[in-house]
Amino acid sequence: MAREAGLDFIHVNGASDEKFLPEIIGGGGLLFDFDNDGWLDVFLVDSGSLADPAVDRRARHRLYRNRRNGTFADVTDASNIRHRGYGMGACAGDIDNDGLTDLYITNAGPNALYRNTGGGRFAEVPNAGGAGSPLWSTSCAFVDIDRDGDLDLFVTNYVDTSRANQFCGFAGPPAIRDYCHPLVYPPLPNVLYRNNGKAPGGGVTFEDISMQAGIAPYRGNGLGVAVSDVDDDGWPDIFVANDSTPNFLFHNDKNGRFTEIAGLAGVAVAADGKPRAGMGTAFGDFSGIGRQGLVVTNHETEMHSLFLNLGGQLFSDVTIRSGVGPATRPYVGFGVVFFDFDNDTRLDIAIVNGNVMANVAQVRAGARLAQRKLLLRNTGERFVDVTKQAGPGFALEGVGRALAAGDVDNDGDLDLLVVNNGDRPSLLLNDGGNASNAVLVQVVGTTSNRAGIGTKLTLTAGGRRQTREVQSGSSYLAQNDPRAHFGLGGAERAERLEIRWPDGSNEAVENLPANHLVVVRQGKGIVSRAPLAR
Amino acid sequence: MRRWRVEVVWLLLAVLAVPSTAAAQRDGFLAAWVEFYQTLPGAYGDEGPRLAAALEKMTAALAAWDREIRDGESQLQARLKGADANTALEVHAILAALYLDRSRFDDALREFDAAISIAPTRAAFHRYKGLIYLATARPAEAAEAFRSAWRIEPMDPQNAYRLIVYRSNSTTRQEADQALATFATVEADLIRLARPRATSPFRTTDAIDDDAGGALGFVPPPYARGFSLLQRGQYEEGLQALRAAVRADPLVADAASRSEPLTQGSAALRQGQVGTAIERFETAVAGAAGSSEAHRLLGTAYGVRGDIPLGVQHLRDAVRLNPRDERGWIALARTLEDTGERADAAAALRAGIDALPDSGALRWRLRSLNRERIDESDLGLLAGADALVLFAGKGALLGQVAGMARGHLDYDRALQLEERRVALTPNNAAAHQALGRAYVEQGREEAGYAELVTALLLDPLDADTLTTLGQLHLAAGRTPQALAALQRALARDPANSQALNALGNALIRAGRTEEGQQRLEESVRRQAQDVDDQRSRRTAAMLTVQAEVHMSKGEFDAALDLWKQAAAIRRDSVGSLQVADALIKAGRLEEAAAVLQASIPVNARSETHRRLAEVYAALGRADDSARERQAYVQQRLDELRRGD
Repeated sequence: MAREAGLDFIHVNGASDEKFLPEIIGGGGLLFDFDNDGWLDVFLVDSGSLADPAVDRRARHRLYRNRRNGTFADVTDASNIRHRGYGMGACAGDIDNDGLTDLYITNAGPNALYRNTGGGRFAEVPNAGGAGSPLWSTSCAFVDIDRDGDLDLFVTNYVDTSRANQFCGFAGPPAIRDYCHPLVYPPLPNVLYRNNGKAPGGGVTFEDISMQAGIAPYRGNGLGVAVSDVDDDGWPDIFVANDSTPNFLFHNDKNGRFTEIAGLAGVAVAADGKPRAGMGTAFGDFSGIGRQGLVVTNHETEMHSLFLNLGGQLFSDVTIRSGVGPATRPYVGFGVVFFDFDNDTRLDIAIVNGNVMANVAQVRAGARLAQRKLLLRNTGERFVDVTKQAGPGFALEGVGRALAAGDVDNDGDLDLLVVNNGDRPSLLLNDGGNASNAVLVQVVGTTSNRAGIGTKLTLTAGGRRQTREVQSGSSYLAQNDPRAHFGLGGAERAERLEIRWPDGSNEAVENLPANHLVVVRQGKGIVSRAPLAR
Repeated sequence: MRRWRVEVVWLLLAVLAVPSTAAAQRDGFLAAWVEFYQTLPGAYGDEGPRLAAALEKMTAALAAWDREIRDGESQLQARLKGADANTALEVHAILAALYLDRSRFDDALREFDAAISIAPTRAAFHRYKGLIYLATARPAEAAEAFRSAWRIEPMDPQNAYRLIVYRSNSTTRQEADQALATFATVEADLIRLARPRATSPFRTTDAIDDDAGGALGFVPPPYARGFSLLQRGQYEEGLQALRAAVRADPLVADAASRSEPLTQGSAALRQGQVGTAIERFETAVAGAAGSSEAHRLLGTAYGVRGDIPLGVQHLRDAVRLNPRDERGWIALARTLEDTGERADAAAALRAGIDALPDSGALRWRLRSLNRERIDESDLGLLAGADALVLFAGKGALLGQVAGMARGHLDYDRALQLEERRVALTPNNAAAHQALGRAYVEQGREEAGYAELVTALLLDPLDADTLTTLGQLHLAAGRTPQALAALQRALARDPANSQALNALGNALIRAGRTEEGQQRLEESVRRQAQDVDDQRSRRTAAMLTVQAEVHMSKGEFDAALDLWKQAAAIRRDSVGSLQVADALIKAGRLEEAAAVLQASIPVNARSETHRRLAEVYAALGRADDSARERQAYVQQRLDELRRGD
């Protein structure tokens, strides 16, 4: 119901006869609260056209303010956020700890950084404060890699298409052009920017520390980024989903350096030893064991991958046994989220899919670019495809790309924002997920970064423990609601919430009432609680 | 051709004598059937009388077979009067074997029941009953019979297999677990090399072994019904259907096929006298312009001589005159494909399929042209593969169509086809392996495990089967079993990157961290090599497509440049005929000749010789041209003789 809600946006992909690869890769979007009114707003990334300037001029990023009544207002013009370049995705974080969430937009070309100056306005930071990255960037994530209290930035890059656009497709006759496979292009490195703090005149500066951090030598076809403390040592690690090349897991060595351990950890490739077309990715404690598992969306026939965290920097590929594999085999997956859609305390999975070949029917009779979304319910033992029972929102097919989860209407259940390539977005409001109880937790750092990104939360309710991490980035070209959502099932309260702040300090609060939004400030405990609108 | 052997080895066939002559008559029938099938392609046009003769042989052999059976019945039943239990058991078992061979299933069942009443603990009898019930579409009774066999001999892996695969309603969870435990023991023994491979342990009721080593023996549509009846053991009805088909076959029914010019032409073609053959066939066509056979043979002869345009013209006439003759379409498509006219070949095949929708041969030929895509005609093949009639190789066909189904993302259909493949070729390790993988990918671990261990039983040295078993154990947390299987897999195939990756993970799980890390590091290196290999393959393929686009626009030099780039990346990505074609069209004849000449030692296709002959002729090198033309003709005659 995006259009009815006022999200009147059609993604401009500039699809052309020349089949420039970026045309099929975007668009991005995220949920964040830019005006701090406690309601999630929407930011949608537009792409543009590499072939036609007139089409390119139509592209506009859009910022929508949540009116709190089920509708959104387009406040883009007032925001001063301008479209330039060919937009991909975005991530959000408070880079200067001023309490206002800033935006980083990735492009096929130089990226852009917008500092939130309050009052609904943003100011573009020149050269993105040093985080311009001229490469074809896709997903990004803010992360405090050195636990110094400010947010650093990780950006993954896709492939180098700077040479002449190649003809790929079918010779025919007639010749039919299509998008090239990413392996015909050289891979690109990821970039890690350290936040060097406030700059004269406002804003912050970023410094490219990829080389000294040890990540520069690793080149892949990066599409998805997810951050998590995979070994629970208190330091955030970074996972990159690479398209058709092995994935990366950069383990934080705590000294400003990272070690790439995906192969040893068992998440570089699938169980058959072969790389997959990794697109979207997310961490989540889907097994309820207190460790963050990993999901990665892949191409059709490959199955989307699910990895169980065994501890000790080891993962086990449970793709098939979990049921995720067989359910996902026919789909080309992009955005993916772990979320408890029915508040039964277990993390479920939503995935948006969409093909990448404009002429896929040439390869497979009857195939279409648009594909259906998937909702996989976690039964505790397996994931079961419940898409058909999920209502009209999930019945829509689309060329799905970004996916973000968040409680858009503050009613205690998680909704979904879907960005479709070359089309309108979808806003899927969860109708009935709040039949069971939940609690939403917003964290505010003081000695840690103010947005609390990297905070680990462990909640105990009704004898069950659930773990969440406050994360930036994740999914595909997207970012989720920064508030941690816990389904409580029938429990009327959560007995205890343990908090490990990004700076390593620990705290605990108790007796969180169900069906409330609770704000926890570092060192102060619960500073507010407000009932959710059920 | 498979020989039926009764498992009860203590039967004294020499003493009783009778059944061995019945077996000889059966073999005679089957041999005549094979001869009949081998005559069907009709490459030379004179096969009409041979078809009729083979059919008469089959009829005579069937009659003799039935006579022998009747004689055997009399003698054996006479021995039943007053016989002791051992003798009675012997008689019933032999009778059962005779009837089973002859597909007299009800009679065989009766005899097996009689044998079981004397010796109820002979598992083999129950197994055969199960097979008969399967052949007569009585799956519930088959499952019960297999269960009975298992309960007598639970440690026999084929009994354990059938208990799992043909699960009866009476089978308990405990029984299934016991059968799986049997598989675990068998697997462990095989990996330790403490158990030999099993040689064809699974029997079927089929007279002809479907497993033809991958060859696909399609039956022309007019003969499909007859073959199908024969394959079900309905021999009399089958022969009747074949007689009707032969009568209507153009090899017999086309009046020109009996004409003197045509028979003389066929004889000349058989002897390799192509010029004479063409002359006679031209006369035949002149005298019977409406004869599809005459045009077909004339077109074939022109093709053999390398006169492709004339060959194609007459073959097109043949299919126009008789669109329901599969032979014409096959010859036309083959000629077009051999000469590089793939689009025309595909168009011809589509037209042929429109006229003959039941033609497996045409559908499969079209599929072979379109390997990178699944189009509407392939959907027809996907849907109708089960109904196609093949003399042998149907299992192999279904396995390949299962691959198509996976490409079409229809995994349920792929699984069905793999199941059918195993039913048709139960002694084929690769079939069990493929089905095992398919079950595992669907999360059906027990069934997958049963299939994989069976695959291992049939081929204990297959590294892919060992690797898949190892991965299955690893995913299930059975680390010791995973280690055993994966270590054996790598011993067989040290370069197997899947096994390497899985073994590394297994070693780490087993606490052998350093070893595991070494394996994983090696796996990471191989993965990087694999990615580079993929990258070069895709880049070369992209350049090749671009080259073909330039060719279609007449931009030959641009095409050649791209092929050169592609070949520099991957030598095997570019065909010499393609390059030669471009050089010829670009007027660079000397270079074309060099390319073709260089390719002959590597890949001496007949078409290479023909093109080279044309190039030499254009260059004025008459002797060289004649030599290549002769080489071409000789190869084509050899292909005709082999039935290629």
